[in-house]
Amino acid sequence: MTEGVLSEAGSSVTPDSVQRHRLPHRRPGAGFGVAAVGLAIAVAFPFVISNPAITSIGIFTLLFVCAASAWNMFSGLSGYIALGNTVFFGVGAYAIAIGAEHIHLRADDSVFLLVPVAGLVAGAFALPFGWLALRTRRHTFVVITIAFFFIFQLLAYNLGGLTKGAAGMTLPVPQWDPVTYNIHFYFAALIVAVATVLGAWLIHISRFGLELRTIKDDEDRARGLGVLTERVKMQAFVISGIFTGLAGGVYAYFVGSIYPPDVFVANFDVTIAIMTFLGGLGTISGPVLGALLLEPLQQYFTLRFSANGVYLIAYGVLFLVIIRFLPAGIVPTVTKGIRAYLRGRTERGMTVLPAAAPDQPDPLPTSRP
Amino acid sequence: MRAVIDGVLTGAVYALMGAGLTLVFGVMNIINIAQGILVVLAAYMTYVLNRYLHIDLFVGLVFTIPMMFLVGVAIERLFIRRLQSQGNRTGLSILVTYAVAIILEGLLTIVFSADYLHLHAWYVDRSIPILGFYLPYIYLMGFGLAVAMLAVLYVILYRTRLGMGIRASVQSRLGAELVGIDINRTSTLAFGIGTAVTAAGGMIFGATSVFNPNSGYDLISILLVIIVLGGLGSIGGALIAGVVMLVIEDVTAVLWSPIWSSTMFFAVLVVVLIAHPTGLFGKPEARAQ
Amino acid sequence: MSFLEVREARKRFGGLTALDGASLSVREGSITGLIGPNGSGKTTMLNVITGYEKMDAGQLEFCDRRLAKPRPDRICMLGIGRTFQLTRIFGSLTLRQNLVVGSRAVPHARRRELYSPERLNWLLDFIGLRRLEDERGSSLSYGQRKLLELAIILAQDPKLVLLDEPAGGINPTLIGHIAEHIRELNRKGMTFLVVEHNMEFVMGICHEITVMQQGRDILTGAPEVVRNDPRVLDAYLGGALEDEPEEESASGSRGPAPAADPGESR
Repeated sequence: MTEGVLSEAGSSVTPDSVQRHRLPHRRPGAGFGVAAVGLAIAVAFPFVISNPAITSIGIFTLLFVCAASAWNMFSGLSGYIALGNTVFFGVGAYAIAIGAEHIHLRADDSVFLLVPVAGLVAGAFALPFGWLALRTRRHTFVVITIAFFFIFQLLAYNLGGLTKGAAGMTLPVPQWDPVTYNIHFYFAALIVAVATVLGAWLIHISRFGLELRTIKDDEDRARGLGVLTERVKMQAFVISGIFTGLAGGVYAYFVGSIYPPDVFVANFDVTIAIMTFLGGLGTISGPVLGALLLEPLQQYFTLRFSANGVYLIAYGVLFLVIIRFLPAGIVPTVTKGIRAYLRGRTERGMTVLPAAAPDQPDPLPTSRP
Repeated sequence: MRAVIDGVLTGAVYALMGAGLTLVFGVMNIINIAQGILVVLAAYMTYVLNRYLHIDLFVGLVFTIPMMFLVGVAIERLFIRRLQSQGNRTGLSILVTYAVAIILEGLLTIVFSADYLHLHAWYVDRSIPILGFYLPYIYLMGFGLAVAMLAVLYVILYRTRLGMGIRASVQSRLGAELVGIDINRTSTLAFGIGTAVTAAGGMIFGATSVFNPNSGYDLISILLVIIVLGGLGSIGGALIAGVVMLVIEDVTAVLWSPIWSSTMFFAVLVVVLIAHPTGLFGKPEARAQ
Repeated sequence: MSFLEVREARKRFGGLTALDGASLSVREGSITGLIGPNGSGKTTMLNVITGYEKMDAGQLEFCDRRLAKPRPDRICMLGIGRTFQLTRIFGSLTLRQNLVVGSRAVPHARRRELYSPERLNWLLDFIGLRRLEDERGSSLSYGQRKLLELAIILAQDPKLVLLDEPAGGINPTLIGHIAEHIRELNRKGMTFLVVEHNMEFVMGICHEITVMQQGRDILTGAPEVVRNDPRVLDAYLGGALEDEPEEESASGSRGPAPAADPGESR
């Protein structure tokens, strides 16, 4: 039998350890360093700035960090652009509203305990949604996700018994000190955002993330090589839904009252998609950066240009500019630049060649265990 | 019964607009989310022609059709062309056309404000008795118009060189290029045709319902469902889907309740997709994306 | 025991008959060639064996086992690996990561052993691209991609490897390397089925060659036999058995013709 033709002496190292290989010249420390600093700033932020308008913007920004990262987990890695994540956001929001109402929780921090529940409920909805949507190829997939958004918005309006329809739902309003009111929500949002980014990072370095990326490159080939593409896509979709639902839960509690067009929003998905594109599709820090840049901007637009027309135009132009000039996103562009710079510096010392080598590989390998 | 007739009549108009949308997808693999707002734009154009220049709605088509065609060409050359080499064309095209759509919406809001408008003519408000039902003239004329334009579309697609080029591109973009078809020009023209049909759709839409800049969303949602149901890239599918969906919607409104008719719309889509993921007559998706 | 056996395969694409009762037999431990002019059905044959196309009629057997409904992933798990004319690798992954993609197809028990860092190093050395192990697949040249694709397959330790035009579009030196790699692996027991246009290559390494024409197999034999048979010369339209220029094949399974020697361009 030809078994064992290429078998080498086994070792106790698992295939997963292969994934920990870093791309050349990337200093793993740098990324963590930046993240740590960022986190420190984020934690200190609400204590330094007490203006509730600003901390509100901070809260929304963090929620978008979460939503964009969650979106990127699935769409950024697999290449299946989903534009229906607002469904998860809305489901999460309504889940917490309905839950708070039926359980009669006191209006204080205990309501936050429902947030993970909201996330899980959203994830539960992701199962049938994903099952249906993922049966289709990419083009149809996008449209179906959009269709689902419309469906859910309509359901929110029509299932009055559950959602109170157009009248919306209200959540218990906590009687906290107005000065520190926002801080509770801020930290809830921060926890949710950090959890999401952490999840994104874990996926990224895992074999699961690797398989997602093969789907983006060549799904059929991946499947032909044994990757369980259907399962992987579904899992990523559900995970993405759970995290987005978390954001929806915090949002609902923060704003206090929700209406169908509020949480099932047309431009939610477009916004998180643009944020991710701006920062860098498929990267970990990309969506974070994109959200940090765009959400405050978005809030500013809303406040400044309340005359509807101008606001929309500014928005649209901004989107177009981003797509036009930064199709790869900030993070990859900057990373490439840094790497090229570093390569130039080490070229003397080391012989790591850029990949523009001609198609002649080394002659027959000399090392053969 | 009346609902069925209504559905067929209005369905044809939506089918026409959907056909334009699916055509663009077939040729260029992009989804023009702005189609909804373009219909509204056409409605506004017709309004202006009607109100200030006293041009009849149908006569106005002589102006609006070429104008919308040019608008389409402009959009394609300005924004879509850039997407040529991108990996995720379809996804990006949605974002880009969405951006264009909201810019248009913003412009319309500034120029016309958010007030609801309605197109008027003698045939809009009057009905004619046929087969025992009172059918508004406008429905019948709209139907006729839709059928006429679809016939023109058919002629273009099946009897002209441009049409052949378009059909070839739908089947295989690369293949078409290799036999010498100018993909760029064909794409631009296809896009223009896809938007030109909104002129007719917009006029009928404006005459049969009230509209304002915000109406684009509902429209695009309906159109998207129609083209997915019919199968992306299939004009015939869009036609059938359009009529069927509108009939279902109207019938549901009568038999059950108007509230649920829109939900039914989407529910049908979901059911069909469970059975047939590529829609009724979807463009055969290449195995490698 | 028959190793790989195809009997009377038939396949039509609309009005085009790609396979018209073609049969093929691959001996275990051999390097078998599959040649024929453009449109003879060679790639379609590979496709139906590996499940990328479905046979309209015919029988497929591997290791005495009847394969009724082959699917690419199942074929892979049975130990048949396959490369493509237009290389299919994963551009956004590094070379090392590329190699690991196929690990799910191998039995759980063997995974550790087959995908250990040492073995991956060995594979990378084997194809001579170890120094590029952390570069992205997209940065490789055409010839390097071919090697990577081969390595991805080899990582799964297949029993049978189907090569679709391994020598296509790359320079002679590299072709020589690839031939050497194949011979070496074959000496260790791996079976190969090679679809190729490059006659020199095929005649040089194959133990046995099957010739196809218009969807049927017309001759099977040792290289010298095939080389001199008038039917084969006939099949190639009266030309001598020289290199065929790359053309768009009638079965439509190839992409656009490369403009220049793809070995130079990327």
